[in-house]
Amino acid sequence: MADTDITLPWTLRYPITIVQLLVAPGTETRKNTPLFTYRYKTTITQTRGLNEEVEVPAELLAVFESPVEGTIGKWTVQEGDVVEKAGQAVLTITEACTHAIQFAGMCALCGKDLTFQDYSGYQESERANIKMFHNTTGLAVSMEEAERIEKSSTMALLAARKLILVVDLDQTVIHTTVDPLIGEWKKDPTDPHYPAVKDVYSFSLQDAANPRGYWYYVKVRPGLPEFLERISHLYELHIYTMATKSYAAAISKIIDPDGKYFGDRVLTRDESGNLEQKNLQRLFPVHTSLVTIIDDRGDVWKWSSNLIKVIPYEFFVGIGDINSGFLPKAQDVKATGSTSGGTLTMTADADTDTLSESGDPSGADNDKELDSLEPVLVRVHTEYYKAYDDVKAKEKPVNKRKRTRSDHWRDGLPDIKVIMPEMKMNVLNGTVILFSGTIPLGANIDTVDVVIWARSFGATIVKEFSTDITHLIAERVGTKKVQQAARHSYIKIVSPAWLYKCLSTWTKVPVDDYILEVPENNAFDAEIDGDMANDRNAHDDVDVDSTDGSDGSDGSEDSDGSFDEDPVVRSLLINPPVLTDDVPVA
Amino acid sequence: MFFLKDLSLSITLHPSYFGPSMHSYLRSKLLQDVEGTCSGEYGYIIYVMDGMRIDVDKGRVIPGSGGAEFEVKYRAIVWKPFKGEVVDAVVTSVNNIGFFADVGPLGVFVSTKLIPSDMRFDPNLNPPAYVSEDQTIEKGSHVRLKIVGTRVDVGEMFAIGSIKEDYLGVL
Repeated sequence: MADTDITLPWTLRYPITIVQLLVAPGTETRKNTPLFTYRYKTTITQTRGLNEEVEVPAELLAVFESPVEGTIGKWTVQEGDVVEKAGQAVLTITEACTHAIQFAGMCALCGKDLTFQDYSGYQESERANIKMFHNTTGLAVSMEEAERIEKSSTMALLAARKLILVVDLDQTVIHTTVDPLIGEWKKDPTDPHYPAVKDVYSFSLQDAANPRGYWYYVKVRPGLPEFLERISHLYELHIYTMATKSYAAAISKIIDPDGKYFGDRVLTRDESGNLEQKNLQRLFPVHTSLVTIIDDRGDVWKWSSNLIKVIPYEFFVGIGDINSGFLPKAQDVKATGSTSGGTLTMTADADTDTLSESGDPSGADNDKELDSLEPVLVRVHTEYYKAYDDVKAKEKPVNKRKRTRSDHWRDGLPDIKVIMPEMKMNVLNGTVILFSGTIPLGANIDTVDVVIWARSFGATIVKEFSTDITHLIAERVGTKKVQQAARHSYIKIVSPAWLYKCLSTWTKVPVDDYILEVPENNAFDAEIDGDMANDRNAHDDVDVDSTDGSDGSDGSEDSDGSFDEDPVVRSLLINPPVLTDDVPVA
Repeated sequence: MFFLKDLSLSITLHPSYFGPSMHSYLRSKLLQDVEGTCSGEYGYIIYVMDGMRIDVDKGRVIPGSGGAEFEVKYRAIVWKPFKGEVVDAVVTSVNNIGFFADVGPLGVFVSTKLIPSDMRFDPNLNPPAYVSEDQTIEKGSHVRLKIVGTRVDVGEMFAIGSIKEDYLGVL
């Protein structure tokens, strides 16, 4: 039994005047029983003479029918009242069931079929429209019910002093490929690649399209079992992946064989309801103040404040994320500069014979991302519960005196969305960064992943050289910006690895190990560089002009406001084959 | 509830199938088309009886196409769940607002409101379960439940169940 406020729908013609209340409190009402009559103003079309139509204002009488079944409670309007707009409550009806939980179109509490529609336009199935459960789409709850569920789960988490961690699979904790060559290497212990792939897991999945099944080869990110074991004491773990349900089930069997970390808390493409975005509201519709996310893609989360972006795990180099088919293309975060060194290099073309192995020949996987992620998560947890304890300590005396029922249970709870950005902002605060040779020409830097990522850590990213910059991040030393920066001793010229290290450890690491050595005679180089660039510029202009009309994305002209003006890089994009011969070796 | 039901189906056959093995082809097509399907009227068609004695009529050539239409009469075991029926089910998943169970092909949801109040959801167990002093409902448990509502969708059925009555619950 629950009291339901009957509010007026937007379909009525407001303002309306209540004329007569037709039912008295305490009476039973069925659905579509008339509740009250009302007057409203409108215009009607009248025919005058043979075919002359005129609009005349009129006041009409109408009946409002009960949208639900139950016992009439109290009227909150009186006869003669004028209701100006939709949404006003007119009376309460005590219902036997509010259909707050629905499964497959039925009320899960009373078993009633709620999918029928009638002329009133009031649909019972809309009373429970929040889908917040992991491995099902059929189950929906009302806002009140969702709030109740989240309250109890939040209270349980706070009591256990845990937070929630939403984990992405592909390229965050594992890397998967479907290349059959891996299977052959794995089978043969004498194969030179065997040591590299011997701890790669494999499984096959069948579906209607491939009855024979595909084989998947999965490399678990180094240190994952220990990471999950330790972090599961501080966080309740959830999986949120864009992969299919069967794939996610196979992966969770690998990373969590006993089901003790993730349990049933797995949300996949099949249930998420969106193929391009991930949304925390899908799992936590009411509040997300305990939730942290780890994912290698920031854009799918719209760079949510709950997100901890990790460096993509790329063991099979060149494969990328096999489950990102529906997503916009991932921006290339250069693995060479990042701390995650891929071990196996796969050429992207179909000719698998050209597969080669690079990096450490022993096949050792040097990825250290989880080692730096764990302390970060521990710090977030510590900070959150420090804030929570502060709030609790302050709250106690107030509690006893004036805690009313209307006090919201969420009020005063610290919020990850506030705490985490604050922690991050301090990391690179005051750092002014210029990129050279890392971001494609003509790219809008505001949409580049690494720029957004670095900005969330408080760094200022600039487009042009200025004397304010503190760090120049360069892929190599041959560029004009590097030479400009080299004239100012306070500007640190560092490799991208420095930035990635800062971003993944949440600390401003010393630049010493990442300084790029700029050759002494750079003045001389610059001159030659300039000459060559000029020569090529003349030649390039023709190219650019000829391509500009057909392909605007080329936009590497300075006047386009292109970001990177380095002549060397420019020519690299326009004329790659020439470059390999005559670029000065820095 | 199970029923023995006389049903019929009209099957259209392409002329390339006309010949001595036409009847056996019609039979296998019948089994393929109806066994395991679900309709609102009869529920699930579980099994076509007397496979060798399916009655196929003479057939009728369809004007204009050259194909033929056959009326195939058969007897089948059908299963239709009813409101109020008590059935045995296997639990497939458990969450904080209830649990899902399968009664053969039928998916049933039992919400916490229809679980005895002494059974509490414990998310920290592995697997998560509803527990009381003498019962545990977790994934894989066998339960006896009462159907409180059913709904037919295209090709499938769903039901809401309750175990909040005497003699219902874990088996």
